[in-house]
Amino acid sequence: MRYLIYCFRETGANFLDYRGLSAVALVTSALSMLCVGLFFVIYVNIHEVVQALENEIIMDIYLDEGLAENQILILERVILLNPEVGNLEFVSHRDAIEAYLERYQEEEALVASLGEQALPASFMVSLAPTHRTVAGVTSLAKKIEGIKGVSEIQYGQEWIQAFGWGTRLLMLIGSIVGATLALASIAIVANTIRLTLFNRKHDIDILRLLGATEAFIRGPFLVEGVALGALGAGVSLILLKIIFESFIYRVGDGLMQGHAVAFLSPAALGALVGCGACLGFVGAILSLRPTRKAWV
Amino acid sequence: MIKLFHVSKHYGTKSVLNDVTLLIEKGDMCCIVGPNGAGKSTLLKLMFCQEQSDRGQIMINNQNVTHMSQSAMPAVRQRMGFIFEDFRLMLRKTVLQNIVLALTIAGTPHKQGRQNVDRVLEALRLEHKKHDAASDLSAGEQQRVCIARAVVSDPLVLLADEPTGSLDSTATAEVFDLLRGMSARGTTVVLATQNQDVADRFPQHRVTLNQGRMTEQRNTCGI
Ligand SMILES: Nc1ncnc2c1ncn2[C@@H]1O[C@H](COP(=O)(O)OP(=O)(O)OP(=O)(O)O)[C@@H](O)[C@H]1O
Ligand SMILES: [Mg+2]
Repeated sequence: MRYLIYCFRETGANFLDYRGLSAVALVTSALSMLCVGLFFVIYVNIHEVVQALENEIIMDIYLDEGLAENQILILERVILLNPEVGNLEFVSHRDAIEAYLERYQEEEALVASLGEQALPASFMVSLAPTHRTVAGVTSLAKKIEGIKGVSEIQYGQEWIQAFGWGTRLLMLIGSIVGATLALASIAIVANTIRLTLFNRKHDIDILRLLGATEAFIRGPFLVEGVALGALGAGVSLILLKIIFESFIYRVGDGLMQGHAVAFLSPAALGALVGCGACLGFVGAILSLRPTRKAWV
Repeated sequence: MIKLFHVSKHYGTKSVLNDVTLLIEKGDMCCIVGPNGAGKSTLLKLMFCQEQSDRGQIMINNQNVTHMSQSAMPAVRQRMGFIFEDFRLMLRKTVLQNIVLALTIAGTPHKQGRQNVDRVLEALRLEHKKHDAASDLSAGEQQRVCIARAVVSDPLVLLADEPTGSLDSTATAEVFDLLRGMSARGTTVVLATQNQDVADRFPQHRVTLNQGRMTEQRNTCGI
């Protein structure tokens, strides 16, 4: 207990005595955590949209012309055998035309001139809840494609793939930039602590004479590293919130078409602070690592 | 209890201690006297594992500390108090923080620690200075803080290197009272001084050191 007080007091003294250095370390770790946080916010929101869209995925299975009624019934059974299929609805020629005319009333004459079978009959399939993913819909499409009597399948392949690539690219850039900045902040925290360590050589010698163990001596510097990292992450969260409120929130609302733009969940915020603390801890460990002859 | 068997120490080619053999019983109070450069501080540093001897063996409380590993040193030092010739205070810290540091390192329970701190602050008349930074104290006051830090954790062995070098006569008398009291309660005290007047206060066990050799030993403790 008394040792904890000692650790925090020493850390406080180190912060005060090396304000400039500590500030630089703090700002770098804040920037790196801010970057990670930004990508995280964007990713979380895009993920949200993708999930919403995945829930709404509908697959249209168009049928060949001139199938007999019992052939259609068999086809329906075959399709229903797939576990991915949640609900299946048959859309006859007539239903298709009615639905079309409902949307484009002015083209009534054109449709009438093409006759009863102007639009193909189809099955409208919605996915079973457990398969409402891009993977689910693609695997179902593969299985149905080859069935005799099916002429074409549509489920918005293009944008689903584009979204997939987009999120993956974003994650990649985010990880690279985040990792680079994280390494930088580890290095800067390590250097800050190393410098304090050398400037405290006199005190550390006294501690050894008083019988302090190496662990005792290192404690305050570990606390310092963790505090730098966690404080940096805290600052980054404040910055993130400001950026979010003044920018992402406004722009995002338009882009996301009705899906509410969300900030990070409390768990994610906690995780970011935890990440910051870990960065600081690693930095401190690195600066304290050399064996006792060499470390101070 | 402290035992030294034929201990020698060189710095480079210079022989600083030469074949010193010494036995100090538990609760004994031993005064090492000798002129400047006689090797008194070196002798205490050997007992404190601050320096390593070239030859001979050193036992402290039945533990051989002659060639001790770095990792075993903290435990040994936590049971010793050392009054440094040059005080070795943390100048940025207050008097109280300097003293409490010894308790924190030794892991003394909080309540007992408080009592000890109050006791030594009173004994060394530092109460009114306890929140001052150590750097703002006079030499005599700094020396008293150093003494307070050495005795606050009730060490089994107290090594005092010129503990009254900067003190006035009243403070000197008080410090010797304090040391005698500790010795009476079982602490083994070793005191080094170049001052003959100080040495004359310890007629029971006195060792004279000259150019690294023991020239005289007077021990009437057991009698
Ligand atoms: N680290 C060192 N390197 C080289 N020589 C040293 C070292 N420490 C002490 N000496 C030498 O050892 C001799 C004894 O030193 P020591 O400090 O033990 O003397 P002392 O008896 O304590 O003297 P004083 O009364 O001045 O405190 C001195 O001549 C000194 O020059
Ligand atoms: Mg000396």
